[in-house]
Amino acid sequence: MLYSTHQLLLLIVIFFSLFCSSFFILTFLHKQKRMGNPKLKKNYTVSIIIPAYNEERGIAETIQTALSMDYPKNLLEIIVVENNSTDKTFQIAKKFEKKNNVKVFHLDKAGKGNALNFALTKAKGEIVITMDADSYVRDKSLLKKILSHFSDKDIVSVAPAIRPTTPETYAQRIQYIEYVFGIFLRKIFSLLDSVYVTPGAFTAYRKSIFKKIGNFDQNTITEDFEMTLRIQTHHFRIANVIDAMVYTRSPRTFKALMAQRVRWFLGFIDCLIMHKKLFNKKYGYLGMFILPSAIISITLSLVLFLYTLAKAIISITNFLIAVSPAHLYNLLKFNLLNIKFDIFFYDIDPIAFVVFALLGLGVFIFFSARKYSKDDEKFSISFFVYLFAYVFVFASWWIKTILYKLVGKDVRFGGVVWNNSMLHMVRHKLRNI
Amino acid sequence: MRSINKANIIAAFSITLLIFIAGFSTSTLVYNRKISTIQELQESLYTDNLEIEAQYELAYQDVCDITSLLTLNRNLNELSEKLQYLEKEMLDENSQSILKNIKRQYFVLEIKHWLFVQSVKEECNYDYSTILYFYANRDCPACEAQGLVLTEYKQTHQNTMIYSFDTRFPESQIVSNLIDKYNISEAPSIIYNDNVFDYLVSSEELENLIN
Repeated sequence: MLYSTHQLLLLIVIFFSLFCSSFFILTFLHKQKRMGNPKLKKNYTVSIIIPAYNEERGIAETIQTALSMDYPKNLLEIIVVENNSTDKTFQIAKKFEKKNNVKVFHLDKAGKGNALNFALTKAKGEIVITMDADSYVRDKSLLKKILSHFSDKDIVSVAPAIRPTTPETYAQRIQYIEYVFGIFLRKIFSLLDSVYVTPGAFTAYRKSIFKKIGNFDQNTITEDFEMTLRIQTHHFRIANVIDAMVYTRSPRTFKALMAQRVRWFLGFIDCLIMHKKLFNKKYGYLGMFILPSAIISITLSLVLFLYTLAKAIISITNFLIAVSPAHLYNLLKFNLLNIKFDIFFYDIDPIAFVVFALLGLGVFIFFSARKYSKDDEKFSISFFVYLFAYVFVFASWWIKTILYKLVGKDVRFGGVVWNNSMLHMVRHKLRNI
Repeated sequence: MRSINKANIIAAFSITLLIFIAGFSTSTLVYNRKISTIQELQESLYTDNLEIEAQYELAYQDVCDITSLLTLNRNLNELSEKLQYLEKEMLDENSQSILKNIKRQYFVLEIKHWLFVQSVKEECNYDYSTILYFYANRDCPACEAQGLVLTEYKQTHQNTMIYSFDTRFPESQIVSNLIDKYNISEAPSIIYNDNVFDYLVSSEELENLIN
């Protein structure tokens, strides 16, 4: 055979990634004019709602930055809903109530969906903005940039660009890279009317939309994702503002990050199943390209990752069975010290060539995202090392997610328990027979 | 009903296809150059070998001067490394068949060189050792390790000549004959002084064996 299974698999993955990347870049070049913001034609009344569960560390800064945005004070209200916290979140938030247009509520029911829906009953604004208690804003004109997009009657929701705060730990550096790519992709998705997730960290909605399509789903663990898909099923439009930057305090450790991603990915699977009718040509790029390619790329990268890992483990074990480690060490040392530099042993094989092409497109996307979102994070070449490391952590998140989806039981995320695994569903069905 | 602009998708697909075609044709060009490099190397080694034999027959040169034989063996080893490297690459069928031909000729050349060295052995009272090494190119981690051991040995012991043969190369009748003759069933195997060692021989063991 001409190619090994591994090489073929690798070529397929690269072909698919190259195809998607070139499609996104073409869309970007084609619609570059639509990257800017329209003029703000009307001053809307705005309610910023902040659900908070054990957020004593960041809640004050979040409220403070929401208040400091350049917008008429009489048109802006801030609603904090604290539910079930065991720390001082409520007391800290309460201090803002006296002097400002801030209202703070306590809710006994757990769950972010519950807190959001409760806040909706209190919100008076024409525009409702959901804001996470671990997010904040630096750009004072951000609100105006976001609101300007509502002048288009079809737009019911507007999302900003999200990035984590200046990364300090390795887990955060990896996330930074991921978010930068996310900024570009979300903008492209909005240009294709195919946004499938607006960030819980900060998203604006026309309040009237909730009357038409219902409030937040209280049963899902990713209510932001579910809401976005529901908006899409009704053919409403979602805009993205690439130069409106919202900062989120990203998980500092790999463990915390894993917990966050497993929740996101489980929610992703559940909500996609819930709204599977979106996989239809009625929904344009979203149904025929963006969602399917998301699933294909996750599946392909996971298969490739596991295959590579298995192959590597097998060949390393075989090698170690054949040669003792001490012996191997001496051999490798000798051969590395006596390496011959012969141009013959360096070449451009087809895989290396297409990998470099893909990297080139990746670099283009990375710098375009930074340019258009006016990101001021200092650039470092080590970002590319983190990009490489990302492949491994990404695969580990999905492996854990799939295990949970198959056999997980009573999976806890903050105050919410998730019980939607295949095993659980089968048991449930058997009990009903 | 939302629409899809097929032109963009077709354009993206064509770009991807072009990148792939560019990748494959560039690498084919590079491989072809490499194949012609080793072809040239092979031809010059063939001539070298003929020359040594002829000089011996004509008694023009002191055949017991081992230098030329050693040099030829070193060059043969180099050719072997390059052949093995290229074999692992993604070559098209045409290149593969050219490579197979070179390989066949290469094994013949190796055996001729080995036989010649054997034949003049007694006459010259040589202080050298010859090792026949049987390997497999794929799925043989022990062969990779054995390759490393032999490379190390060869570099630290100038008077050793190593002849390597692919056990999974049925195209070469002469190699198959050799495999039958020594009853080789496993790779890696080493033959030293007509004794077969059909396991991974470590550097220490090799040292003891030869000295």
